Amino acid sequence: MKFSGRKSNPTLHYLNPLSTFKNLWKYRDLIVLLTQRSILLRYKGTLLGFFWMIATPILMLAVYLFVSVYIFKAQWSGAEFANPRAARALIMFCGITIFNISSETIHTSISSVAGNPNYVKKTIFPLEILPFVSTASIFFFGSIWALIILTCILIFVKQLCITVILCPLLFVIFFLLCSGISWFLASAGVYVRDTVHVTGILTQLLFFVTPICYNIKMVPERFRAFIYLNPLTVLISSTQNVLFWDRWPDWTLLGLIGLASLIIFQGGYYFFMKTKGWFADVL
Amino acid sequence: MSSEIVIQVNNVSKRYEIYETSHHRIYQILSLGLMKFHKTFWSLQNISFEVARGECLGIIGRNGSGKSTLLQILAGTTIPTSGEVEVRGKVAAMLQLGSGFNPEFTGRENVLVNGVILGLSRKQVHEKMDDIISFAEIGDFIDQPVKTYSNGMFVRLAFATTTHINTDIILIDEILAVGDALFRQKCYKKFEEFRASGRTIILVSHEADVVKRYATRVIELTHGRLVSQDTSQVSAQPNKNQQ
Repeated sequence: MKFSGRKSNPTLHYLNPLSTFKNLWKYRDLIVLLTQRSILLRYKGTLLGFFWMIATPILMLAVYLFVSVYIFKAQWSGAEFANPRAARALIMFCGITIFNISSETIHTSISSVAGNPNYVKKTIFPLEILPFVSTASIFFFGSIWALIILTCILIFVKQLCITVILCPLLFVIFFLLCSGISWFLASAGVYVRDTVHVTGILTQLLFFVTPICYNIKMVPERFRAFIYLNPLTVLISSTQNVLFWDRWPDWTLLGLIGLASLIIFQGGYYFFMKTKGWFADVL
Repeated sequence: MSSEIVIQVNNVSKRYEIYETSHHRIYQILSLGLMKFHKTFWSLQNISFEVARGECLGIIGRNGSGKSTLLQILAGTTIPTSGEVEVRGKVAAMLQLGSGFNPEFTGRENVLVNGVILGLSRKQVHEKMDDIISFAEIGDFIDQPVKTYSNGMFVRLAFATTTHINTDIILIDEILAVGDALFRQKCYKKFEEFRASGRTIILVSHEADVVKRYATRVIELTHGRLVSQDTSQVSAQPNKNQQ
């Protein structure tokens, strides 16, 4: 190991996605263990424990079903299904799940390093895995939500399209996007304590520019490009397409989002690695 | 003693920027280095020394003399402002015992996590688990959450975890004051074992007499500068501002 002054940081090394994956693979034991631990920690000390893991999404979905069936009358989507109101609730729920995963990633990643000053100052620790671990555990809970959605689609819509096989790809793209963002925010959260307030407002804005409770076609033409700038739009519409309508996603858009996600992933890692040397000085 | 150099510190300095209020930090960023909104504090200035394999180097100095900063630089948790540090081999740092422990989890789970942080695989930690538990002398408490531990148990377990992992270099900061006399004896015996097996120890403390007893060589820091490199010249007067 060699540490020196500012000049000799290996810049190109951190820009290569392969070296990122190699580094993460090197710490796989630690990543698995810490992810397990953070999953366990969420329900540690609660009365119902792991029951919440399943109860939360089911209760949440129940709320959506109730609202969709009894209160929310406008049938903007899912009219063609045998059970239109339940279908609409599931379509909305699919969007809200993806949105929740991203907003939770944003929220937890900010404190993933800043909240662990011991790891920064008192131990020799590969800090780059902290944001990654927090994202991974969020995705673990997210996949339980996804399984519940799939089960409910079988129950209420009574069909599962072949296009479902594309879900893992969407999952990977979404994961790359979220972990890239989490590296950016984790580093920003160390240096600028205001980050958490800024992102609080931004996620609220994100909610409204994400087509969750409305259809993209309901948006006036001139604002549509703006909605498409949000990477969640394509991810959500692709997921809904493959889950409900047996339609393949728009490959060009999905390809662009995939590429953008990879760039954000690598950019976030690069940014984190370049800034992590001074974490101990500011925390 | 073999003359193989495992730690080489070359002209290392560390500067901290002290801001009066946090918005001065923003002004500093916005001024692009054209103006200065902070005071600078040199925690270390032009430090150079070498450590050979199997040595037990003691670093002494009063509070605020830069000992801990130097140790952090050796551990790689902070980057020197100028100069170079080269460390050959795997390093375990005891900058603060049990700092990676989570109070909600049991001793066993914490040992596992810490062992993996120190670079072992989960299987390797499981193999060493029994040794660690018996060295720490905490018995059945190993399966209780760490928050139920007494201070001594906590420290013993943390020390046992770090020392049972085979690293080439061990950095120890101000931890000798903890634990009872018997456990301290055991720790020092452990240090002897390390040295015999060719591992290098760096011991930091403000208690000069304690360090002198166990270190093969002592260096002294005052206000971030290296003032002496020789055991015989070490001033052994007790520190007045001990914690």
